Amino acid sequence: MFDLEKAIKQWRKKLMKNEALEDGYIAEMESHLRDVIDDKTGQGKSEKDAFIIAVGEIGHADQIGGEYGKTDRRNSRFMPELFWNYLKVAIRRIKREKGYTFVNIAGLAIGMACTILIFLWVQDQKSFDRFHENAGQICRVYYTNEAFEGSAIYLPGPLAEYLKDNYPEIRDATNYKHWKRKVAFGEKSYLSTGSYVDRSFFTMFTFPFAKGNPQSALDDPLSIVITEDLAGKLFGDDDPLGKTVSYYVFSQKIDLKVTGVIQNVPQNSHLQFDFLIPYEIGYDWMKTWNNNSGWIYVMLNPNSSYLDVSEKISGVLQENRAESEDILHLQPLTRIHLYSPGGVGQIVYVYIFSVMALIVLLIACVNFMNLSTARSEKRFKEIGIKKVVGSSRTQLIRQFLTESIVLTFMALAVAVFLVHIFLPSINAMLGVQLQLNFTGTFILMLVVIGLLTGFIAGSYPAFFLSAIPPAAIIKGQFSLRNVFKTRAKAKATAARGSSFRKILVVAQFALSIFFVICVVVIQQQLNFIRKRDLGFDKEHVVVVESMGELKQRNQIVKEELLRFPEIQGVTFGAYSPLDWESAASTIRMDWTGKTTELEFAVGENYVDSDYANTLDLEMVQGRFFSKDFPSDASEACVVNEAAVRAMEMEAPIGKKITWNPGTERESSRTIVGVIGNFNTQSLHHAIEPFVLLPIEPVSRGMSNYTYIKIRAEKIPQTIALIGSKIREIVPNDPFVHYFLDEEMNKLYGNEQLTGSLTRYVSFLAIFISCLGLLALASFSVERRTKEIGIRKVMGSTVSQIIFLLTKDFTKWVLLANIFAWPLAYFVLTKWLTNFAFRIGIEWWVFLMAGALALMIAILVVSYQTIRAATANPVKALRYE
Amino acid sequence: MISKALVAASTKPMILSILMSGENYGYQIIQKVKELSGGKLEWSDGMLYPVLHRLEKDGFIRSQWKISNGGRLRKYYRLTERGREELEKERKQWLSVHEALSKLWKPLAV
Repeated sequence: MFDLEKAIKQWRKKLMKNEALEDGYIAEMESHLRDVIDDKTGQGKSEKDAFIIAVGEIGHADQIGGEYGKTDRRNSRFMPELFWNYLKVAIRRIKREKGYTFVNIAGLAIGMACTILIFLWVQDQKSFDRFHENAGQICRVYYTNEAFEGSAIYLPGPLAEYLKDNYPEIRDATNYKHWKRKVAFGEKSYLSTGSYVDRSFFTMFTFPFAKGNPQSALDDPLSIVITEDLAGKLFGDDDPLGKTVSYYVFSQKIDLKVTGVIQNVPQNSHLQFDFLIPYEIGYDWMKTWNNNSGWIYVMLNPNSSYLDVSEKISGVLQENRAESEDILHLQPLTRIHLYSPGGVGQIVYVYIFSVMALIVLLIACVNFMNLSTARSEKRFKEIGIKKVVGSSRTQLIRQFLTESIVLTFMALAVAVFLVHIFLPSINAMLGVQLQLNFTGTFILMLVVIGLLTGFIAGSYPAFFLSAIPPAAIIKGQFSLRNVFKTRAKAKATAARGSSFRKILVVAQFALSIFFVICVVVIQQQLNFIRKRDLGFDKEHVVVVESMGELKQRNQIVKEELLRFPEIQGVTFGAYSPLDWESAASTIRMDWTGKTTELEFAVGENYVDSDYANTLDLEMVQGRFFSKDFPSDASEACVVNEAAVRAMEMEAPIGKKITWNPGTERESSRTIVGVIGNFNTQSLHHAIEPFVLLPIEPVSRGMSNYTYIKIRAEKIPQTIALIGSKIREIVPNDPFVHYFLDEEMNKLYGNEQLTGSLTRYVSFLAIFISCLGLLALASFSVERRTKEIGIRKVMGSTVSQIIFLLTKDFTKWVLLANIFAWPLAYFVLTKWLTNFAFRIGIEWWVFLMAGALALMIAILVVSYQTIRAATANPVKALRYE
Repeated sequence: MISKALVAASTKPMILSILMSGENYGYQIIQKVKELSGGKLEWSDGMLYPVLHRLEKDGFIRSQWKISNGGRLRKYYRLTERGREELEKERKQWLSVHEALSKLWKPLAV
């Protein structure tokens, strides 16, 4: 007999199995069911038939449950009380799993510290010259010339005033001509960088005065404004205002009254000086249109665009200078540091380093993801219970994200601490001056890094773990197979998890290998630069900056020094052989046999007759200047091979070069010799035409540098000897000296920085990757303990098991090479095109990097695998 | 028969409109729909309840358990103020669709 109540009860039970259906929902549907049955029986159907019809009409429990589920989930709200629970659980877990937490936090913290450091550097680079109140309106004037590529910033002095007077858009303009000069007060004298500037300098730029009045400080032509630093050195604690200091233009002494003390120039200013003096007292040639003097800055009206003004002033030089083809442009002040005039410049490094920071952070995130997912099996029980008790997927995701964000912020704290500790040594190592200031931007950046990293690092585990179906999770063993009722599904999910992990490991190693290749190639290029024959000998050459008296008495110094066997040669020059900017000239030149209107930039340097010997310049043809030919002083010049080629000369000796032809400044000289090409600037550039002119005795005032070639032994003693001799002869001059190769290294500041940074970054990348690999290896071994035990019992040897366990990792690392190699090749080829002189990329570098990564990886996993392989199988089988 | 998509789309205005004339419970609502459409509009009974649940969550209707004359527990639904507004919106939309289609079909009818 059909029992209606019993049937309804069973139907109800079936519905109750669906967790989405709450009791209320079921009661409502039961009431509905009964209504239908009543209707149907009223129509004469049997109770059984009526029940079947009614159940059919209501539909399948799963479907209805699903519909309810959709509605319920959409409305699940954020529950703050749960947040505290997540936090509590997170902290508890961290406490309980110290080793895991340590690896995780260490990896993340190192990655973040690296990111913070690079962020600080980028901030520093971007902050250059922004502290001026008028930063937005100030521009530097520069010019280009079709004859020679690139641009130049040295301009004639009168241009500043001309621009200000003739263009209403230009509110103010100033010259800026800097030099290193001797400044003395009483017994104390210092070689300082000073600049001739116009009065408007202080209204344009923001250099706050500690003492004195910025409006009138430079009114008197015989005044000087000094920095607090220089004031301290010269006057100690005394008030510098009104004191008279001696300023030396070579041997000429000028007395200047201190009218102002400004705060020290911030490090993030491209204008660096110790003192400022009025432009009026500069040389006369600094005030003519035909000579290039210093830099010129203009301040525009707030509503004028620099591009428009740039367009308007482009022809000014051509109008005011005979036969000039120079085109003027403006460059905004805030771009000067990062962009070369009309080009890119430093900004490239800002980008490179930012990308590096991101990559390291990414590697650290990958580590985190790897570790969390690898350990996911351990958390199945927790997830299962949570789900059964009624936790929704969103809530689980929130919980995991909270955990990862808590970990991230702990790592962040460690990272800030690391940065704080290592900043001084990093500053010293990289030659930068970064500071850890907790400004608003910095804190905001920290929070953003923290949240972002936490989210990225936590996202995969969160979404992966929360997707595990709740049913059957707490039955029996908590393995993937049991969780996913069917074998196929379990396999698919496990495979998805582990293949994702594999991808991550491969990515980590690919990046590490990429960095290693970069390190090697950059280092090779830097070595190449260092070791390359520049065309002159830069080893063991001491450069002494000659100021004031030393310049006058340099012949005496030379004679004195040459008496010592340690000193092999002494010579003088107007500019450093590596200072192309000072040497470059675009003065019009004619020469014998000049057929076409050839135009190119020529370097000029005044040197004494021992220059070629001392610096070991190669004589290709003819002779160098010599004391045996007194007429050299006014009639001779020596050119390099590049100049010969540029002038299209067949037999250069005896040909004439004429400067400023057809003007009152016309002068000409005969080529007496040709020297081999030598580099006059960094190896980014090709070798330029160069003319050497004799310095003695006519141009003695130009001998700014004394070059002393010394023996390779006992260098410190020799330097001391030189110092004491020079002080004996010119007791009042400061002894400023350095080595020529040091000066050359400075030309590659950015490359050195990139080199050392990539070195550290690659080390970190590998280190972090290995941390991850280590943890991953230990998990994988742990999971396979039983398998290893059985294999051993069945007769596997230790080496077979080690091979089995290492095989996987080896595969990943090898695969990583495939991705790393083309990437590295592409990036490095790009980088190398920056250099006019460069190395080729060699194939063994790639192999070596791959082998290195493999070796390190095997080394890292070996501890775990050997331990597992040699363990007693009985113990392994008892495990769990 | 009316297509599934159209049934799904019309569920909400249908329920809200039925509740315009006072509170009602699930079974009655379904009966009314059948009656009104002459059996052409056929709802799966079970699907009605999730929809009602959803409408309640959205705040358009409110429910209350009551015991009927026959002693049976029934959940009665009532239209809220928001529900009325929502129905007005729906009504406008349906009317404009209706209007557009009517205009299009006029010549066909001639």
